[in-house]
Amino acid sequence: MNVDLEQRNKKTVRALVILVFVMFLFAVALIPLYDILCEITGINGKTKQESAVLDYKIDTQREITLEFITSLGAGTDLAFKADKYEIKVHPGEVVTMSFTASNKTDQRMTAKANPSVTPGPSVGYVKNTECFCFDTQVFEAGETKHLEVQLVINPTLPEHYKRLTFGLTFFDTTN
Amino acid sequence: MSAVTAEHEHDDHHDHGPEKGLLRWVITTNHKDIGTLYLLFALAMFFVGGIMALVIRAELFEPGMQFVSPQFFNSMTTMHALVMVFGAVMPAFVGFANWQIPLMIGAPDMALPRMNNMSFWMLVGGVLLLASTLFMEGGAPASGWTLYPPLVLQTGAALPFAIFSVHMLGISSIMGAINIIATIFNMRAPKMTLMKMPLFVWTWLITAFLLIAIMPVFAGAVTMLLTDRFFDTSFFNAAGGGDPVLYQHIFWFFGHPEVYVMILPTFGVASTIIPVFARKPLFGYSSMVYATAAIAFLSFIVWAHHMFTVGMPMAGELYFMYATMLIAIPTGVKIFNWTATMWRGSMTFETPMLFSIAFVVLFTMGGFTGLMMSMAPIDFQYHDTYFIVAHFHYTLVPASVFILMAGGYFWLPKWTGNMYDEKLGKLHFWLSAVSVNILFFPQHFLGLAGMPRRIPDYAVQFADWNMVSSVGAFIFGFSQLLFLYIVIHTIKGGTGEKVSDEVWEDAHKHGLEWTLPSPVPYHTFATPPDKIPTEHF
Ligand code: HEM
Ligand SMILES: [Cu+2]
Repeated sequence: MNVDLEQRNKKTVRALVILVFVMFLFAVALIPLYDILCEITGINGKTKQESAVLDYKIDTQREITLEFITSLGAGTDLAFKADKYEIKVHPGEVVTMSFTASNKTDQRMTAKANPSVTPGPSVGYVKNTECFCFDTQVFEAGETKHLEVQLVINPTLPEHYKRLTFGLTFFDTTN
Repeated sequence: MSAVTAEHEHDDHHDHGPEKGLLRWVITTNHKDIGTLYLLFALAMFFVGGIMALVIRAELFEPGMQFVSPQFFNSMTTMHALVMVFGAVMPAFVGFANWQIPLMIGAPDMALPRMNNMSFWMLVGGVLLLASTLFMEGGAPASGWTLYPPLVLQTGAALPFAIFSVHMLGISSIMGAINIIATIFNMRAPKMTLMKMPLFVWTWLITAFLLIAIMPVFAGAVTMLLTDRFFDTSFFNAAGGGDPVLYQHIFWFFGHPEVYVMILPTFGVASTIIPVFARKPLFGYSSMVYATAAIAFLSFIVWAHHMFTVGMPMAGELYFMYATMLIAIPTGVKIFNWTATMWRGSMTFETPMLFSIAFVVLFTMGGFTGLMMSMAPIDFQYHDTYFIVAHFHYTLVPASVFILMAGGYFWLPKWTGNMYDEKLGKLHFWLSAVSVNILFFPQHFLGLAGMPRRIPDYAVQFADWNMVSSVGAFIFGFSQLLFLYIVIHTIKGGTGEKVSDEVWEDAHKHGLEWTLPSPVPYHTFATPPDKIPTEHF
């Protein structure tokens, strides 16, 4: 094998190894990129995690059915329920919903809830003005808590949405 | 390569044969030896994966639980896929690449012979590690080959080993790909310009770039699974602010091009075999090259067609739907070209040609079901049912696997200097071609009727077609023993008929490899050939 060929092979290998590393970094970079993309477009049903003061005009002509669903992450030993499963609201009206959660274990538990809205594309129109899910909750052994969520639907919500689902999932974050 | 070997080349390279004894196979850096190792290893894994498939089909022969536990059943579907993809189909094509690329471009060996040896043994290590998870506490991974979290994180002791084995397989593939690219870029005979390269070489060049682009991404994704499980990160864990759907995006960014890693070399071998038996040049050579490149490019921008049902916004669904449909265009160009190559050719139907024709027909069916599933609203019905199982098995078994068989029959006489038994070859073909349809065609009906994939038991209305499918599976599986016999028989002397240098009538017009003596000497093209066949172009 001559020297010239060896040089060329080395160059090819170097370029390709760099490409391998670039692609690996690309995979890692997808994590923040994904979150940024979801945040900008609101396409993942993740509601913005911040309180907001909004001043919408209430649209009494329209009525939206708002459903509440609750679920638990794997191994989260809570009893968690919405106090009402369904309400009717006018866009622009601030509504307060209450939930009940109790710690079924005999140990102190910290837990955090994650909110989501479906259908996904409607998420940008649902504003959480206040939510217990903004903070981590601490449950003493056996404690039952009443928790509140305040939200408002942006009156510019496109006409074809008649029913939205607001979901909360509690995760045990003790460790 | 040191200066010492460079000196050696001049004096005793020509008569320097292989090492004696078994050690030859461990330390060899000869592209033909390594090609043989890859092919034999792939053949062995084809049977290991095949046994797993038969466990699956035995359990599904009748409704109810018969032989295995649900957990083990799911391990079987997972391991069957991983073994077939990473242990059988990919290594087999790497084996072909090792044997054929240097012969086809007039090079004395692969560019990086020692790395070649390393990537083979890394592959063996990776597959053995993967297989060892079957015996670990909690069993082998049972989450499906896609390793979706959160399910995969429930794997027992096997998880870190499975992930580490994926790393090894990835490194092996990357090394193999680098070697292939370096060989093709730097080692071609002077007259072998890029647009004169046989299509098999072209398809492998493009496949190698795909591998380099996607294997690191897969490695990244599984590493994040590992840290989620053991180091309390939350990349894919909703409790910590992560998102399991993100894993699916990363996986399919790898996964979709990965299926093309298995099909592009298939296209290359088919484009090599069909012209020889049609006794015509390949129709539309340059359109074949461009179509291959187009398919490779498109494969990076369609991944979420595997995720139509995760709740993407409408714009995403539409984009991935139209982008996926586009793939049918370059694929259609290829099918048109193979058909046009056969059109008015003086065809003969030796075993390699039979397998190739079956490939053209049956692959087209797999492509059509792909097109059906590319329609987002319709895919909601097909997704995760047996329909998709039928789809990808049509694109993999009577396509990739058939073409691997075709290539075996086509090149074995050249490599060994012995002719295989044509009668047995044809018998093997007909048994395989009929049984593969008995096996997979009914799965379309099952899927349309709503039978989900990856389940060990099913409702009784699915019983009939499952039984038919299982019968097909056992015929297909046992027919492959015939292939094993034919291969061994050929290596050991075959029919005893003396094969000519070109083996197939006028094959020397189609490629450099047929200008060499049969069997191919241990060292070839120490000096590059000064003429290259032009019939093709
Ligand atoms: C015209 C070409 C093709 C189109 C339009 C197409 C389309 C699709 C679509 C839409 C799916 C997802 C279905 C679902 O999950 O609901 C799919 C799955 C799949 N396709 Fe294709 N496909 C094509 C060719 C191929 C080829 C050539 C191969 C392999 C050699 C292949 C292998 C697979 C595999 C393995 C899966 C299933 C992955 C899994 O979920 O485990 N496809 N295809
Ligand atoms: Cu795909």
